[in-house]
Amino acid sequence: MKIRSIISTVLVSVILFTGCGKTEQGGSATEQETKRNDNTVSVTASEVVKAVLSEVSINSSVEKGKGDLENYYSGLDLSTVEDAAFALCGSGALPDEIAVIKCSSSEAANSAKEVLNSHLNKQKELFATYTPDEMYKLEGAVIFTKGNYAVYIALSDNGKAKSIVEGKLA
Amino acid sequence: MAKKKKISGLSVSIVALNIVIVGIIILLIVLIYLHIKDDKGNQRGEITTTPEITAGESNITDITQGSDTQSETHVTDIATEAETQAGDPAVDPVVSNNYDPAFFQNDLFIGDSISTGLYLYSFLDKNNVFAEVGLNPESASKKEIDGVTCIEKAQTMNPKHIYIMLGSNGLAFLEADYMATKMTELIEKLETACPTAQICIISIPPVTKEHDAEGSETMAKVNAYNGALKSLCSQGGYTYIDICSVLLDNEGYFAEKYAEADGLHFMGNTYKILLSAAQKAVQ
Repeated sequence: MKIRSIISTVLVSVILFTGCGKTEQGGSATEQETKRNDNTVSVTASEVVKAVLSEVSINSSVEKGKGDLENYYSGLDLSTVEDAAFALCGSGALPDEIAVIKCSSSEAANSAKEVLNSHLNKQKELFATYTPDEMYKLEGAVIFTKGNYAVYIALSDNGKAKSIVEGKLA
Repeated sequence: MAKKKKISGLSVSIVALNIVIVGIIILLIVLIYLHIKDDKGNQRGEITTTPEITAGESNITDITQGSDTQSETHVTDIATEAETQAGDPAVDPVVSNNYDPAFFQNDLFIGDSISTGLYLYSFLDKNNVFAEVGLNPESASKKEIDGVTCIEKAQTMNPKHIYIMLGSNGLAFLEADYMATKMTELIEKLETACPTAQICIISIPPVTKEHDAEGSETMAKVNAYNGALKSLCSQGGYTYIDICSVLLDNEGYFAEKYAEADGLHFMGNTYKILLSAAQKAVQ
């Protein structure tokens, strides 16, 4: 009886400590609060963009949100967008840009990806003769979907930026 | 009797363990509370530093509220101006950067990549700007943005003032007089589309000494073209806004405090100077 009780108590303690350990590994308490029941990503689009910009900067960076999408990504179905953030060069001198768009479904994310592809083609047309030295950012641009997210990356280090985004959306 | 002692002994150890566990839980709750409190404090700190990072005071409100922030931006600008002029030696107190975003509500700006910064930095609503990378006086009247030319946009919008700042893109490969001729053609089309609008020509901005040295866009070319624009305006009765002189340093080049790293584009705060000059010119 004594052994059983001690074992039970120890097990309860272990479970409690394990739970706390997960909290530490999973991030701050605030991030944990944003975890959804369906195990989707806990970060906001803005947090993802900021995480990338802290490692791969944009000169004269300006960050914009969901309310600005229609002015920049023509053809995007805004009714399917739940969260979004994007950053670009405010002076208009460079093609540097990152966009993270969270949609209501993976199908909507695929549609958003098509819009981002069109956007990239337009950017290539604009900057090809304007700043040929900067074209590597657009030629190596990365557009992909992950779950309900559509992502556009045209930066000085697209590989690093993609890795950061994937890490945040994992 | 012996059994009772055992039970009593068990109870004491279990109670002791439970007290320890409850203590740990309370300690954890306190630690988590303190952590959350600390996190919130850090977030507040980030918000106050964001405008410096993005070089545009309206960015925070812009992220969360879209473009319905012009009056808020104005309030912030005034505060910033007072602060910077009092304590920041980088801001020339003689150069005005005071403007009212609402003043431009019915106005249209036509320009190249430099003018895109007007809406990218959220100084103006995108609807008030027709601008794109690479535009020049020759290409501006035919180029479509979002399916319309600047002439069509002006006709639909019927703006009170039309500001045109074009030419930086042509300096490298077009003659000043040719660009001025194309500018005249553009103005005539806009006048036909919007007979009541006041046409304002903004000089193209200077280039930095470093950019000048590269040879493609030089101050000599800038001055020649601006001279042609000025004479065009005096002949046609258009308003000429000389932003170039305002942005010069002591040596006659684009002052680095106003210039983007490429020596051609604007820093965020330079747009305030442009808008201030534009507002004063037509008031």
